Amino acid sequence: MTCHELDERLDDWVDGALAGAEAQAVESHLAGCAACRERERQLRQLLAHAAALPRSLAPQRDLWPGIAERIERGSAWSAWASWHTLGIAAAALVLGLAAFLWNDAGPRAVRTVAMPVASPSLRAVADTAVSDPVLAAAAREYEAAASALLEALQRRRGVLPPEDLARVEANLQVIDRALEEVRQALVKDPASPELNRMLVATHRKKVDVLRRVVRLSTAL
Amino acid sequence: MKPAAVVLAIVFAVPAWVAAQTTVDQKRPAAPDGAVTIENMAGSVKVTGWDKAEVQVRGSVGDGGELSFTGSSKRTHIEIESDRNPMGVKSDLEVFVPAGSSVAVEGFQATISVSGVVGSVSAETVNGSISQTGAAKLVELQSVNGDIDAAKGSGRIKAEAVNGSVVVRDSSGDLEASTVHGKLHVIGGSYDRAQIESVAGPVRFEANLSGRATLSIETVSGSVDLLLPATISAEFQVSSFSGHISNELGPAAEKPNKWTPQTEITFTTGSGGARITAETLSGAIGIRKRPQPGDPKKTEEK
Repeated sequence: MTCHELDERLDDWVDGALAGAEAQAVESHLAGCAACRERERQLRQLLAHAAALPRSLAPQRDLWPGIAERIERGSAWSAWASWHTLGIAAAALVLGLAAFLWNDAGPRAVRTVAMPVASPSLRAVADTAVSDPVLAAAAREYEAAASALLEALQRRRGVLPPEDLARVEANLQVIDRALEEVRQALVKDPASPELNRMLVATHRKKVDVLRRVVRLSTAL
Repeated sequence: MKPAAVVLAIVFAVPAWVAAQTTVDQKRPAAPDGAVTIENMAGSVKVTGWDKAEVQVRGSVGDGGELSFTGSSKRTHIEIESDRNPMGVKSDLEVFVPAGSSVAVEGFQATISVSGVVGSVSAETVNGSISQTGAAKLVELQSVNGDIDAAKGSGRIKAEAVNGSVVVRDSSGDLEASTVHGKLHVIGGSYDRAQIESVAGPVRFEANLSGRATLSIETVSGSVDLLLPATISAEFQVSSFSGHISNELGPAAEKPNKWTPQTEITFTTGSGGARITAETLSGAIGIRKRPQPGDPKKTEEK
């Protein structure tokens, strides 16, 4: 197993999701590679910190600056760092949202999400309804991640074939339209846990798509 | 252009193109369960599992590219290297690996196909299709614009496309599949867990579930078509914010309140066991009885 292959499995390893030969391969690589052991230690530490976040604490807002630069640099460490920074941030987001949704199972407060890409009128409606700082911060984090990745993608314009970029952009528009549709529904039913979960899942999908394209484009 | 000029252009252009390609055919010894990584940014990669303890690469390398074929018996790395933009170096590689290998293929404008590998398979490309056939224990396939076709996998399967379609056939075990815009079809096979997500692409699930399986499907505007055996034992939780729900296996959908257009159904068939959830925002949801052998034939939906 290479360091690169280990990186790809590190999340699952730390989550205890690996078994059999794959787990043995990771264990054996870690036993012989100090650099990967250090990355494992750092990941466990970061996850422990994320897990310890109280529900009222918004995810760190400064996680995203520099993501694009690190991706651009293209070194093994930067690739690892960008992936895992995203992973840690997502974990923090998920914790916040899980807390929100859990809390939402009780008496329902009126909550919804403000998204920077929403139409001005819709955003105004959504903004007035935001009452949960964790959810609002989570939404901002996703937007910040998407923006950082879009910037990184823009910088690859000279390298990527224009038709591929056009297709990626068309697909991002599909996701944006879906986000808009979910937001419209949230205006009608802001307390719906299903809609809130759908909003987050759709937003995560946008970040996933961008992350994948940017990561692969760094190999060019 | 006159026909004679076209013929001349072809006569001179084809040999020049052929000359620009370099033919390769190389072998290395490899462990039966080693790792094989392949990077080819443009062109195609075809991987086949075989019973020999060696990796063989053959095919053509595009002008300006060079085949790097390195590693040890436990790890083999194959890469098309180039000083120029690799998108302009189109190489077509056919790679034979020991069947028990863990294979990882990465491309950008490349089509990828893998067959006969029973270790693990990971394949990723942006603009190209991916197909995988064989009982690999771990399968991860990701494409942005291309279609994904995974067949006969067993164990853990993950398939993600954005614009392309995802079709998973005759597989079993644990499935995670998602698309943004393309269709997502799960046809045949039996699953212990299936998690399916789509933003706008239509989802069709026409497979079996084990006794305690969980199936979860979520879309925003994509439709959901569930074709299940009439005898299935499962608990269903189905809801849509504004999409229509039709149900051949249980009661009709109801509106839980008068303030939103949401409709939902919760019901159990047989003695329960499997758990099925489906949620959409505006996509229609259809729960239908799957035709069984001997049933009167209906017109097949395209």
